[in-house]
Amino acid sequence: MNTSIELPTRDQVIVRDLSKPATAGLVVGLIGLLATFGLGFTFGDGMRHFGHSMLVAILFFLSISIGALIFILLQHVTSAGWSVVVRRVAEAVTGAFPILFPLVVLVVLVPVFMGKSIIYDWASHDFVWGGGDFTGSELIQSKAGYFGSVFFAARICLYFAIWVGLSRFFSGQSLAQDDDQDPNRTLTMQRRSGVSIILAALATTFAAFDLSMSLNAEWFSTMYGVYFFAGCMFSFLSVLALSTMWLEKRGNLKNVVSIEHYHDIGKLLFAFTFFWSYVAFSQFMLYWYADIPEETHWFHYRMWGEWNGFSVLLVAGHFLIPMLGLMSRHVKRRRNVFAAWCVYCLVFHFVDLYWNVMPEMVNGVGQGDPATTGPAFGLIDITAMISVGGLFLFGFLRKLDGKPALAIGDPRLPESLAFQNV
Amino acid sequence: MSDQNQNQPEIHGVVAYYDDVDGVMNASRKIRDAGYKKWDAYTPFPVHGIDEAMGTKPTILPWIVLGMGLTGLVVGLSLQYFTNAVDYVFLISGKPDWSLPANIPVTFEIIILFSAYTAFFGMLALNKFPHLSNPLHKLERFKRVTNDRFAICVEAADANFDRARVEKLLGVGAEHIETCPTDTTRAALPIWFHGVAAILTCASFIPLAVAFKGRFATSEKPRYHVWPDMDWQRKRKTQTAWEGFPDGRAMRLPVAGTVAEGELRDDFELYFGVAQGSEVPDKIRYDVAKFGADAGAERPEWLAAFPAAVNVDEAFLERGRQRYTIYCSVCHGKQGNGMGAVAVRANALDAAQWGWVPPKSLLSENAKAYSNGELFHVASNGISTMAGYSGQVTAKDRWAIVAYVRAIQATQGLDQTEAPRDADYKPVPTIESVRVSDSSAAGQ
Repeated sequence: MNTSIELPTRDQVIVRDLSKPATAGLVVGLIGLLATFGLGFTFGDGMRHFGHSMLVAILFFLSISIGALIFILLQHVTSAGWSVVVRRVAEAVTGAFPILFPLVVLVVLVPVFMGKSIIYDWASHDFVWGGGDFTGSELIQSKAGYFGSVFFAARICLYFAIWVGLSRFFSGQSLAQDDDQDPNRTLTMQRRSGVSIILAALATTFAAFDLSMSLNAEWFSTMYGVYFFAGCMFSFLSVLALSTMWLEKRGNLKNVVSIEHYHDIGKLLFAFTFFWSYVAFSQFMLYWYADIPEETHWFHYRMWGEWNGFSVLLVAGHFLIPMLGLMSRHVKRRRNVFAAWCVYCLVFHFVDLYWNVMPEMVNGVGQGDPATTGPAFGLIDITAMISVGGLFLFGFLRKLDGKPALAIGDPRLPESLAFQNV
Repeated sequence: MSDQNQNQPEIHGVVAYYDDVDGVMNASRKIRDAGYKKWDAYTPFPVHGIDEAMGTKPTILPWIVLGMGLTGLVVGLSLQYFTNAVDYVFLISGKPDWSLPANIPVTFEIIILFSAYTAFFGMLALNKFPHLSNPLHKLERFKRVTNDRFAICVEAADANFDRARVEKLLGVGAEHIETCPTDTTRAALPIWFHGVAAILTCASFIPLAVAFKGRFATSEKPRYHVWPDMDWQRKRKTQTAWEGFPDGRAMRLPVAGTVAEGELRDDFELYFGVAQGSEVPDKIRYDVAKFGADAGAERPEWLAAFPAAVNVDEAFLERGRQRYTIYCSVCHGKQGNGMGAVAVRANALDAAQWGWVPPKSLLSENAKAYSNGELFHVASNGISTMAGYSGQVTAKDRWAIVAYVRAIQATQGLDQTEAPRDADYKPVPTIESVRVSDSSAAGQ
C-alpha cells in the first residue's frame, strides 16, 4: 500500500564530522571536572558538596543512558515498528555507559573505600557503629551485611557490566545488520530482549537503591527503583526527541523522521510524566498514611522547613505543568514547541534528582539541621553538570560518528518510515 | 414512523467500489474538493492518511473527555470534602477532618471513571450509535467491504447531491458503481420488543423497591432463613444456658485443680508481688482499700524487694527500659514525670472537663513510698482509671519495669517542672540506684 516509500541510502544518512565536537566534549568534561574539584575544596566541608553535586550530575546522565537502554529493549521485546528510525539514536546514547563508569569509580567508589562519608554516611565506621562524635545507628547496623565497601563496589561493577554488555550487544547487532541486512538479527535481538529487560530492570532498581537511596541508609522504599526508572524514561525521551531534531537539522535524518515519530515520542513522554507522578505520589502516600517515624523522616525534612518550597515546585513543575502542557496533540506535532517542552522536562528531571540527593548532604554526618538548611544551589552544581555532560556527549557522539543515523538494515524500516498516527 | 414518505428521496446514495487504497484515496480527495458533506468511505482495514484525503475534521471527543475529567476532579474532591468535613465529621486522633493526600487516590479513580465512560459513550454517540441498520447492508456487493473492497457512498441527503456529477467524480478508477435504494422495510421495532422491554424495565425496579421498603418499613416477622441448617446448627454455643447439664450451663468447667499450659502461678512473689501463701490481691479490693470508705483496711503483705526468680542486672534493667518505653511512657512520660504524649495532648484539650484523670508522676514522694510488690500489683492490675498490663506484659517484664521505675526514681528525683523533656532523652539508671531505692523502700 505504500509503494511510494523510498528507503534512504547509506550515504544519505551516515553521520560524519563528529570527532571534533566529541573531543570538545571530552576536553570540556575534564576541565569541568577539575574546576568542580577545585570549587569543592573552597567549601571546606571535606568535599561533601563536591560529592553530592557530582552524584546529581552522574545520576542525571546515567538515568538518560539507562532510559535509552530500556527503550531499545522495549522496542525489541514488543517488536515495535514505528521506532526503527529513532532507535539508532538511543543506541548511541548508551555509548555513554563506559564513560560514566570511571566517573562513578572516581567519585563514588574511591571515597567509600577510603571509609569517608563524603557521599555515603554508611561508609563511615564511626557513624554506623558509634565513636568520635557519633552514637551509632542501630538501623544501619542491622543492614551492615549489605553496606560493605567491597560488596558495594562489586554491585556497582555488576550493574555497569550488565548495562555495557547489553548496550554493546544490541547496538552491535543493529550495526552489523546495516551491512548484511540479515533479518535473523532482528529475531535474535527480539529473543534475547526478554531476559535482557529483566536484567536491565534489576540493575536499574538496585543501582537506584545503592547510589541514591542509600544516601539515607536508615530509610528505605521498595518503590524507589521504579521511581528512578520513571525519571530515566522521562529524561531519555526528551533527549531522544532533541537529538533526533538535531540530526534532522544536520541532514542525517532528513525526510526520514516525520512529525508522526515526534508525536509518538511525545505521547510516551506524556505517559511517563504521569507514570513518574503516579509512582512518586504512591511512594509518598504510603509513608504519609502509615506515619511511622523511622519511615517518614525522609519526607519530613523535604516537606517542612527550607525544602518545602522545593517540594511544591517539584509537584507543580514535574507533574501539573508538563501534564497540561504535553496533553495536546498540537504541542507534540510542532517541532519547536515540543523541543521547548523537552528542555523543560530535562530541567525538571534535574530538579527531581537534586531534591532526592541534596537534602542528604546536610542531613548526614555532623551537618546542620535540614529543617533550617535549605537548597544551596551554586556554581559547583553547574560545573558538575557541565563536566559530566561533556563526558556524556563524548560517549554519545563517539558512538554516533561514522555510522548511519538510523538502522538501515532493519527489515521493519519501511514500516517505520511510513508510520502514521491515526 | 411512516414507511412511505413522498418527500424522501427514492435512492439512499451512490456507491462506488475500488480495488485498492489508491483508488479510494483519489476518489475521496475529489469528493472532498467538490464540497460534499454527507458521505463516507468504507474500507476493510484502517487506512493511514484517509482522514486527510476525506477532509475529516479532528474529533472534539478529547475536549469532551477533558471536560468530564475536570468534572470528575471536582466531583471527587467535593464528594470527599462533603462526607468527611461537612456531613459526617469524625474526629480520629486529632487528625484533620479533611486532608488532600488521602483524597487523591479516590479523586484519581473518579477522574478515570468519568473520562473512560465519556470516551467510550462519547465515541458511540459521535458515531451515531446505536444504529440498528444501514441501507448499504442490503447491497450484495457491499459485503466485500469487510474483506477486499474499498467503497465510497455519497448520500442523496447531501445538499449538493447531483447523481450524474457524483457518478462522474466517483467513476474514475472505480471497479463498479451503483445506486443504493432507500431502505423501505419497516423501521419500527417489533411489537413484542416493546412489551418485553416494558416488562424488564418494570422488573428492574423490584429490587430497588424492596430495598426502599426495607429501609423505611418495619416488620414483626422473623427474618427469612436461606440456609436453615447453617443458621440452626445442632450444637450449643459458648457462654449459653442449657438444661442438659445439672448446673444449667452449656459449657463445662475445667476439672478442679486444672492448670492451663504455662499458667501455673505457684510463685506468689513473682506473680502477685506478695509473700508466699498470703492473700492474692485483686484490683477491686485493692482500690476499695485504697480509696474507698474503709480506707485503712487490712492490706496484703507486699513484697519489699524483688522476687528470687528474677535476676536484677544490667540486662534486666535494659529490658525494663524497653518495656517501660513501649507500654508506660505514652502516659507517664519517658522520665516518669507523668507528662507522656497522651497526657500532654489531654491537657491541651483540657480533657479533665470530661472526667480525664491525669497519669501520676512516678517521681513523686507518694510513688516512691510504694513498695516493689505494690508497684508490681499496679502495673499488673491497674489502679483507679489505669488499666492493668498483665495481658500485654509478662510477669518478669513487669518486674523489669518496676526495677526501671525504681532506677529513674533514684536518678530523676529532681524538680519535675525542670526535668528536660526532649524526645531522645535517656535516663542512665544503674544497678546501684536500684539497690539504693530497694533498700529505702524496704526500710519504710
